[in-house]
Amino acid sequence: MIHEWQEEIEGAKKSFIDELKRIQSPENLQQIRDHYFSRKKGIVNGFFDRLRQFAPDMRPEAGKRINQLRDFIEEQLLRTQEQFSARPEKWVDYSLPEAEMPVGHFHLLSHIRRQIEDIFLHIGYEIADGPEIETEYHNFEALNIPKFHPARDEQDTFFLSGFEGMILRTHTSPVQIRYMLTHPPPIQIIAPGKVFRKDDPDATHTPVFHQVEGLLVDRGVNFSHLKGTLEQFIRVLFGGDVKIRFRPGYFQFTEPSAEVDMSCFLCSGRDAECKLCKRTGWLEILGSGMVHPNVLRNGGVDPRIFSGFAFGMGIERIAMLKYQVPDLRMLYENDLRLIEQFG
Amino acid sequence: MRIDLEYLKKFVPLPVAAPQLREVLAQLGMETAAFETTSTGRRFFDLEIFPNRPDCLGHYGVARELAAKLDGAVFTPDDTSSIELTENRSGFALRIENSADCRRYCGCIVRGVRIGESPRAVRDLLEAFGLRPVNNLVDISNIILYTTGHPLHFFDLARLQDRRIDIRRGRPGEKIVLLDERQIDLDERFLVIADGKRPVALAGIMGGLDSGVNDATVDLFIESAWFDPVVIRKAARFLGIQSDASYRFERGADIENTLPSMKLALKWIAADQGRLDISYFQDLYPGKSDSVTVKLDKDFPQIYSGMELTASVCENVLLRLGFQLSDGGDHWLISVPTHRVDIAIREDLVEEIIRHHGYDRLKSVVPRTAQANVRSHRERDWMLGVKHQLTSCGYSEVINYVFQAPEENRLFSADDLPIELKNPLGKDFSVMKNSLLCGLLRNIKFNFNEGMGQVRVFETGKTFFRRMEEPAEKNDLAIAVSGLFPRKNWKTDEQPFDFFAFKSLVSSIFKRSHLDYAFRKAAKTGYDPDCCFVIEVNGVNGFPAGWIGQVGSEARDFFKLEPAVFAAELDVAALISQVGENRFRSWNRFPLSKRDFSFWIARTIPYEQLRSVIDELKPQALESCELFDVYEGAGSTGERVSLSMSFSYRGREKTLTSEEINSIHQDFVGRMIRRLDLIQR
Repeated sequence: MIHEWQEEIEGAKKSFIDELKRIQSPENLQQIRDHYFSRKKGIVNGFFDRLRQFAPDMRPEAGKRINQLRDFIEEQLLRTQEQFSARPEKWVDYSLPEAEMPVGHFHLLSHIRRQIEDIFLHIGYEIADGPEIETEYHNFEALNIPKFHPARDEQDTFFLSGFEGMILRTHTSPVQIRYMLTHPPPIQIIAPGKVFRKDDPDATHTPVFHQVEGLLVDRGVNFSHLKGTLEQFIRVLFGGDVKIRFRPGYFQFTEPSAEVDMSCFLCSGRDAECKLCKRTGWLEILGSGMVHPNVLRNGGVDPRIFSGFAFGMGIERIAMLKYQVPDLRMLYENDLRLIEQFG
Repeated sequence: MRIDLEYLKKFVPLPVAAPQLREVLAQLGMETAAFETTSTGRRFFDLEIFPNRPDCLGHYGVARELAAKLDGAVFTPDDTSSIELTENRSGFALRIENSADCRRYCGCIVRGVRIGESPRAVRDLLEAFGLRPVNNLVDISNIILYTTGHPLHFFDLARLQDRRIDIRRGRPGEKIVLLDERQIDLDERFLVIADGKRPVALAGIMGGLDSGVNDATVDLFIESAWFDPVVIRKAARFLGIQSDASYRFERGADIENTLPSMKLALKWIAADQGRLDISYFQDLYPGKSDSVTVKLDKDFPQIYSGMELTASVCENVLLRLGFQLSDGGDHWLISVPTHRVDIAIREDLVEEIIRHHGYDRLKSVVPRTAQANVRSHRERDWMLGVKHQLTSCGYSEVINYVFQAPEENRLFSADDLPIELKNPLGKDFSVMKNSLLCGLLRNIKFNFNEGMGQVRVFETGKTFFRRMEEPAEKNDLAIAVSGLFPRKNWKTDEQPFDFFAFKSLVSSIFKRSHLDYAFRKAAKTGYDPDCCFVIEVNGVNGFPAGWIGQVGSEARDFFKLEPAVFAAELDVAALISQVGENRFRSWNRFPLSKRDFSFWIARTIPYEQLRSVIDELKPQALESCELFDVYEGAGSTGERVSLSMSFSYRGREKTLTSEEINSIHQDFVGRMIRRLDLIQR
């Protein structure tokens, strides 16, 4: 019998400890005190009342167990009481909402640009820069696009008024020329920046957009080096196991030229209804090629000794593909609800 | 360029079905924009042809490419051996003024033609080409255009005066009315086809209205010529005309395609008319030249492409494409067929070889180049740091166009002489920005309209100006904020964003870069005159690096912005030029003592001036000072305001006693009182 008595007392002790853990205010403390020590319903007093059930020779032992429980509870209550009195007067609800602290974001285009720059910086490229107002020479002639060449039709150009031969650059490629003229090979650069074409804005065109140009010039550079470099780059940018393929392309400043497609990262070519790749399994991602010998010569580089490759991609295009932005005009509206989603 | 599938099969057997054909064409560099069926069930491809491949602007060219690519396929042009043309110059004269403009001109006269509607099959074929039937003869010239790719022109012989044709430049005062009824004033920039009296066609671009074939035509004069691409393009560009003919001539016509195209036309005419009466034929060819020859080292294609390309692979591709090879041991001398106007150098031949061998066979090799250009990117790193700082403070980056309306340029620069675009998209986008602020103000307005309570934005980008009468550009950073901050919440009431908080944000940029900076009261167009400061870095009268202030009412009204807008513009290059590397400096470990000083100061003296007097008078032991109270209440006379400042002193070489500090402080305060006429409280 004394054994069961002991278990019952232990159970009361445990539930007391649990209750104590949950209390949050001095009022709670009083409730517990009443729960255990009130004259009529107090648990401890209940035990004392039941002492009579024991045979007289067992009563001292049973009573001792109750006394131990009573001492323990009293001591714990006293200690907790002291902790409460040490707390400040005013009780604070720390679960109230946080104070306002605004957080800003990089523009999606600059977020993408930074990712691209970081990848090329890691493989030893330098970031080069060029002016947005360019000469027609650097933008066209030096890149093997003579005046009155049909290739100029494809890049409708903004001209400056009153400054003969000055335009807004239509691509970042003139940086190739400027850099080669001031740096001897080996050359390994990317040139990100704004470019301009006279297109009325629509879902896939804006008169201002961003490109990243790449140029590598060294001895013995060949077409498969271009493919290897771009494959590495695209895998890091888009992640995973994307594949790339080269198709014949046409640019006046490269020969041979290649359009580069990547496998559709949404459907991997498996979804016949994929809206992104329009069921082809491939996404057009950039243009590239081996630098035309005329371009090397115009950059002061001897094409008999050096060869090189160049590539160019649109940052907006990557925003559309990777981040699924449905309309390019949204990128220039600067609605914070869009900007806050990225960067 | 539309290709009719059945018609194409006349010239090359196609062992593949349409979807595979589309794939093969893509591998060759001809993307299919559309593959459709006409109303009469003819299937056609609409192909995108690169500008350097005018030879593919006809069924022959596409057939030639496919024949070279597909095993067992041979290109077979229409047999025109039944048409015999012999030189017969009687009764008509042809003259080329300058053989550079027109290297070849074939002309012939066909007598007694009957004009009518083309047969159904021809009209169906034209529909597949995307052309409108006109009459049997014009239709034939269009069929030839889409077959051989060479533009022909048919004249009504009766309307050619003096029985002659001159290919010459236009003369001032001459005019021509074209087929599209446009009247053109001619001069020596234009190459014209003229009869004895007047120009009857703009060479290579469009015929004249009153010399073409019409219902009354009985005798035809047929022209098949070669015109200089640049001459044609200049004129076509100038006039804003793009015709099927000019499109081909300006890309480069095949000079050896003139006569075969004429013969094919004659064959079609003979079939259409049931007879063929040729009374005149002449082939003027003053510009005949040797074919282009390119030397190609046999190992070059492999070296340049990184593909495994044996000599026999290269030979095979080039021969199938119609190149003639003469073996020189370690190299070939390659003679280029005249239709390949795009081939001039060995790299062009490498492209041909890998295009036909297959771009998909290209390997991926990561180049092992020297780490050529490892250098620090100071400006980028600095800018990224600042961007992180701004975004951490709740400012978001925006990107705007680089051009705006002229009146926007004038908002922040009264005497602006803008850099204008000659051909802008519209007046609102016609000048290059002289400040990034207008873009930011527009973005703030936009976001307010979308229900944002506060907008904090920044932009980095170029601004444009004139330097020595030349256009120039520089990198700017602009920051702007407007609206309520904090907004109403359980803890605080809402209040408008505060200039002093903005000032501390901008200051933090300089502090982070360890730059000394000062905001000096100044005036600038576009800013509120009471709240406009020039930012100087590194010392008194230091380097001007930008502006900070409140946007003035004119600019705010322009963008219909109600609340105050605070803005700053920084010249990035100027700032970075001042950023240096720091070296370790030890700090003073003697104890610090503070003394407070409260005083009345004239309202006319701004704090900025008080600070510069403090800097001027400060004793050596004064380490810093802090304004902790501004009081304008009881005791204020209206002319004075009370400031309370705390001054911190520290001995340089020893611990200063309380008496020493008192004495230094009293002396300093005394001098301030005298200098600024202060009244101690």
